[in-house]
Amino acid sequence: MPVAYITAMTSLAKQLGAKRIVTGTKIPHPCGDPNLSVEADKALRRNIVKSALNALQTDVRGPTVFVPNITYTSG
Amino acid sequence: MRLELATFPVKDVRFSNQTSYNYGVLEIDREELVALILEDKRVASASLDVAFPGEKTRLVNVRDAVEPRVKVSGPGRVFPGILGPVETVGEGRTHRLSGITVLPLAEYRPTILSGTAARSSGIVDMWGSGARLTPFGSTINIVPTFELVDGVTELEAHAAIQSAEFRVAHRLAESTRHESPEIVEVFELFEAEPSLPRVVYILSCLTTWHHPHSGVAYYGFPIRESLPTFMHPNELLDGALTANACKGGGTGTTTWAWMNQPVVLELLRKHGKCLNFLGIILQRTRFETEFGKQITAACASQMASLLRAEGAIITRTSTSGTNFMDVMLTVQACEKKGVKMVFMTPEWGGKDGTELPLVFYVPEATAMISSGSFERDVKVAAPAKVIGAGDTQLVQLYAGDKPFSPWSELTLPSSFCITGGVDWFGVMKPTCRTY
Repeated sequence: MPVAYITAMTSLAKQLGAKRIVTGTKIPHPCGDPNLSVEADKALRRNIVKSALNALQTDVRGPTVFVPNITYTSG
Repeated sequence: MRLELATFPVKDVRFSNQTSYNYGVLEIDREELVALILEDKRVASASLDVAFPGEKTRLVNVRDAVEPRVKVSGPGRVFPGILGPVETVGEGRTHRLSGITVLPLAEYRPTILSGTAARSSGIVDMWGSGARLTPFGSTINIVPTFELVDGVTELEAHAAIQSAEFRVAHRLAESTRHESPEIVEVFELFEAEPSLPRVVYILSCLTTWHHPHSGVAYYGFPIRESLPTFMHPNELLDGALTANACKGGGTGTTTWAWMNQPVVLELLRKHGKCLNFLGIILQRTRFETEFGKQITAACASQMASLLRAEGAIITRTSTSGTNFMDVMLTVQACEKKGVKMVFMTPEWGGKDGTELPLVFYVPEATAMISSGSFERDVKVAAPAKVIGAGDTQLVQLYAGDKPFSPWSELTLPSSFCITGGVDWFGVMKPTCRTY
């Protein structure tokens, strides 16, 4: 069963051998950003989930990172 | 920048009607020091005790540790930004009392009750198996014990505890001002022979931006989301880096550890002899995004590369796994820029040493030093005396832990229950045998 793994620690996910890795926003909130307005946060969340759905439909060999369009508001 | 560090070893401590240092004997005017602590209106009650190595004494509610030092010449004061104005330190002459530590045993009503931002305390045993796991098991400990008034915030509690310990330590060190030291060491990054290998020290520290105090302060200023900072090693010897005095648990570092940083001291002593010590890159870690982690790694490695470092030592300061990743990524980034790396760290490994010792690794990390595992159980016997808690009072080390009686024998789940119990910088002497 294909699995898309959304995580802010992509280097670690690669090492663990996860095949479909989706870059999440931040360790405490991988699927959104409370610094953003409600609308912008919703768009970001949609963007990350879409990226995960795209990953599920993509054939991959080894660990592959899918990068959604994220503008980071902090490190 | 040239610093003379003058050492006054303490072999005995006695209570007296004056505070003075004479040939290794430190006399303490207990009333004077208690009055000094009580000057701070945030302190409700205070007392002061001394604990000697070998005694069956357990210290509890330990919040930090500090070595008595005083600046007798040169700019600034010890603990700049806290005990004095912000002025670059590391020059002139500093006196230190060695062999004694001031450990504040403080109680207050916490305002943060759970999570990683909550306070922590450690225990220190003066004898047996617990004493061997911390530098403070073999120093004579001056222990101001005090309670704060109700209604202080966590940051105020930190400031009050730190102020008490620093002012007591400073007062004790003042007693050496006109005395002659036993040892004087001179630390200076003079122009070294150009053929010597150029070495930089990357001091990675965990700082939590969302806590009342981030964990490590630079000239009294808690470091939050900063990028790497370049420091002269002498600055540490004068107390430019300090700890959060609400967190005495062994997962982090104490102020004592920053002042007695063994990697810094060793690199300073070897400077001009077998290497060219370039200075310290103070790196903030525990970024919460992969993006932030890559940036701190890129920035620290770029700094090392621009300094034309041929090699670097890197250490870290917390049991956090996310901080470990930042450090590993820095090792990788430096190696890719041609800077040879040695990474020293304690390891995980589980209760019997059979689990994974590291949570993350990069192929470039080819030279590592282990300073022991912090995941082993620590069995400690029942003490004859407890300082820092009343006869029936229970003690809690970390938020969420079950409070326990400090009077009994204990099986501690990790050496991080002991203040100074995790060896971040290789100050202790653990050994390893293969069977």
